[in-house]
Amino acid sequence: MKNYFFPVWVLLVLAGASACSHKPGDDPLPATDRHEIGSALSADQYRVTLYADSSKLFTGFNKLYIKIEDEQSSPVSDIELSLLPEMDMGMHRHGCPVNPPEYRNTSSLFEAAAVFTMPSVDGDWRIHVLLNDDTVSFPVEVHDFETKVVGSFSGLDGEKYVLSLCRPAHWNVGLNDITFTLHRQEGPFAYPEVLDAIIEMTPEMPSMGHGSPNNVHPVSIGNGYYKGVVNFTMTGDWRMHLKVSRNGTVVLEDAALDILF
Amino acid sequence: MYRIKFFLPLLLISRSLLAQDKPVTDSLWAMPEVQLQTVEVQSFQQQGLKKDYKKTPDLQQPVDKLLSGIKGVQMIRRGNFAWEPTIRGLSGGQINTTIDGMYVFGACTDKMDPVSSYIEPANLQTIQVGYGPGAAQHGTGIGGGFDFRLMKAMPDTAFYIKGLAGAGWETNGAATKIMGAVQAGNHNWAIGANGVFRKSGNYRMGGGKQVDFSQYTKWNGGLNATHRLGNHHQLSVAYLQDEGYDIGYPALTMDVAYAKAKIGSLSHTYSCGHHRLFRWESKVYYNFVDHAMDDTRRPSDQVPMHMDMPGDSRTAGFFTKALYRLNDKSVFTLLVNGYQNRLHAEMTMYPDQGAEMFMLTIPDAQRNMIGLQLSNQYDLFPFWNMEVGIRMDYVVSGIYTELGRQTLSGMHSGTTDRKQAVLNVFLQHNWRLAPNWELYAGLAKAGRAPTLQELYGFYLYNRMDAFDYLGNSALKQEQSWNVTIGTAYKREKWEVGLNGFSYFFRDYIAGARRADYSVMTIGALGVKQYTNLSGATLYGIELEAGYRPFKGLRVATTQAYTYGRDHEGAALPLISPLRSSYSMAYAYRGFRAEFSMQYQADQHHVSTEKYGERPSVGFTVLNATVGKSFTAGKHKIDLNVSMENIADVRYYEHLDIMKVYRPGRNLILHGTYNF
Repeated sequence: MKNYFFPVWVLLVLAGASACSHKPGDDPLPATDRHEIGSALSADQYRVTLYADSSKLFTGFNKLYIKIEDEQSSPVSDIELSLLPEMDMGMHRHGCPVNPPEYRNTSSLFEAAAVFTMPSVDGDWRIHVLLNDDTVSFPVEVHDFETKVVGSFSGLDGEKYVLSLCRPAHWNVGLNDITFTLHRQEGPFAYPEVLDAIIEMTPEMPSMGHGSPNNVHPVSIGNGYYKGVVNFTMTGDWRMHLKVSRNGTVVLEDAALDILF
Repeated sequence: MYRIKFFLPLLLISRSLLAQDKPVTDSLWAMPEVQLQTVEVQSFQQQGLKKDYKKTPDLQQPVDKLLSGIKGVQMIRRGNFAWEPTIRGLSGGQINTTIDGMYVFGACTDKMDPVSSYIEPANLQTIQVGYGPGAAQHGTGIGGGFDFRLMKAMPDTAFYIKGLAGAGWETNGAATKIMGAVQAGNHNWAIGANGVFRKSGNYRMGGGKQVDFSQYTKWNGGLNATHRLGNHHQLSVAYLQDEGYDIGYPALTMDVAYAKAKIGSLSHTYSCGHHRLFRWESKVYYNFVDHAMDDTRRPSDQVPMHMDMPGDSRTAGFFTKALYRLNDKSVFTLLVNGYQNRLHAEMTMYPDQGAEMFMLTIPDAQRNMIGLQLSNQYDLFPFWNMEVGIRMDYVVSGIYTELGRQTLSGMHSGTTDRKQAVLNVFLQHNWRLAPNWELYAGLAKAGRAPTLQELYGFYLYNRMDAFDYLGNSALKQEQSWNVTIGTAYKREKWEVGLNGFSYFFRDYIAGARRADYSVMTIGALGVKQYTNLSGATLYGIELEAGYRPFKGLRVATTQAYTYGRDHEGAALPLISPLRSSYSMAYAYRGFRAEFSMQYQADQHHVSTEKYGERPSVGFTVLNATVGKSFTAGKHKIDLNVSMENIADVRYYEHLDIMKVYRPGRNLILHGTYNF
């Protein structure tokens, strides 16, 4: 743990120093919205800065934002970029599902996402940002989220699936849009998106045993995302029972993810 | 104003038969007499033409018992406290309940606090009962309603001070009560104050078994002041506060930690007997009801999960009511009134494991109402008079918080706001076929807006059918045609009255099962959502007769039967079977005695499957009372000894939720000192 904390600390200090060198107003980022995870220089002298929606990364779905700046501190968009999180557990290493970075003109950022399947407890997570032929790595700490928002499930078709919940900024009582991601695990670092699944979603309050009416099952909206509507009749613990089918047969009978608000 | 000279609780007299020489309208709108001795029940037999006066000299009778003695009134009982009145099988939003014309709405989602539970006889002067739309009402309604007229000190020609103090004790439940009232006034001002405290432990049913969670504690206090401005104007302020604590509801899964009401008003009255505009009363008011359920005293096997369920209700409103005498034969009444009511009810659940859960059960619902009512009482001929009137309410309902709107977003598509115009029209004719024989007939087209619970309720658990109820913001107004016909005949020694009524409903509001919804309450059988049934019908017949063989003795009986069914022929819920009462009363020189018998038949006309109601078994209960008044000058002491349920019968009434047995034999001592 200790040897892992140190570089993050250093990186944060570096990031702070680099931010200070900017003139106010140069930064296109709304400072309050995103939290810097790390910043480093590539071998080609590109400054790579990694952001997330909160100051901590958690197990499950995390949106990530990557800023690439050249030596003149101008945002760079025309660059081959990919993201590779890596879990080093000593004996073996594995990755996790990723939504590849895409450049957004509005924010001058590459937007991506990673679905961390485990916390930084039994090993260390690093996020590798691959740009052109260069790699910049960020050691990160992934905290265990308070509820189960991601799961690796063995499908009835012999495949292994990673299902995760995209957490919004906050949940409301009543109707909420709800989004999941579904990936298939092909190998330790290969998690292709699943686009053809049919998901049946049944919310339940485990401590009371009841559900809620008027939910809309999530449907595939591309890139491995599935979007539906959930109706929370009250606050508290909610469990989303997800039944996943592909090609007309059920592959996951009851993959459950938990929400607390 | 007619006053019964001997003790006959709730004796029934036809006013127009007794006061033939006076025009009906004259005393109908007369100022209420100021007195501390009695509570008076004015029962508007149809649209206000024929009034029945009933009085009880026992000021310590609780309101629940006073109400249940009124013809056509049955009480829904959930415990030994705060019974919910029904009129001819109609209840809830179908009847109007006002206090001095002020709208007050209970805050409890489980109907634990009907408005009548915040009134005590110590501050009550008159209970006005109506059986349909009519001049006595302050709003649209199908089944009429109650107006509880509070006691007010009034200026008098000379200085006066009077008051009373009383105490009561009951063996069953070791119930105690103390009360007091004082009024003082002179030519220009008057003030009054009253208070009561009562407390009861668990009572015992017939046979002696204790009914757990049937205790209550409450106090009630009132203050009022009136100032006379000139000869015709008066300004009054009145404040009433009622607080109940630790109230058990054996028929429900929870008790009540507290139930509090604060009711205040400011009013102006103009009266001038000989002017055409002979009375004009205006009032602004505000009330706040705060209520919290409690399950902490129940044994753990009765409480699958601890919950807090508070609720509150706030109402601000006004009315102005003018009476205009066109000529000796015709009086017009104009009423404009309005209110805003806000209801909030929430529930926090604490599971043994996992996070606490919070929800709104009445998601911050609001109603604005404004209404206009015009009625006319007209003596067509000396033997024929009529009342005709129209009332229009404009009712706007909605949700006043974002959290409330979010809560309903998963249940109601589109806007939850509702605007409804509700029309009531009523007509009544009264014929005196002979000096001692009267015939009357009434027809009314009635409607009512759905209640806020019916529109927006969110998983409100109904213990009777064990279903969770959901509101439906798309509900249409419930409408009905009311028809009444009746006759009264009186001889020197006996009188008899008979009347029949029917209500033909359209868009009757009832819960319909939603099989696609899962229950919220642990143990509930399913979910129902309020819906409009295409129709329902209610019929009834009421008979009363009295015989007075010699001065001081009276034998009387009342019989009532009501039959209700919906559009599919299923029995409507909460309809009493045949009920009979027989009484023999004797009064002589301040001494009084009464022996009475209450009978209720079995009720097999129920729809268990549709409305969750089970058949009930009938009963006969015997009661007796003896009392004596001692008078010395202006001092009067009144002693009363009653025994209820003499035979210690184990019984319940059909409207008693969960068929919790009523109290067994109970000896009641009441003593009151008046000065």
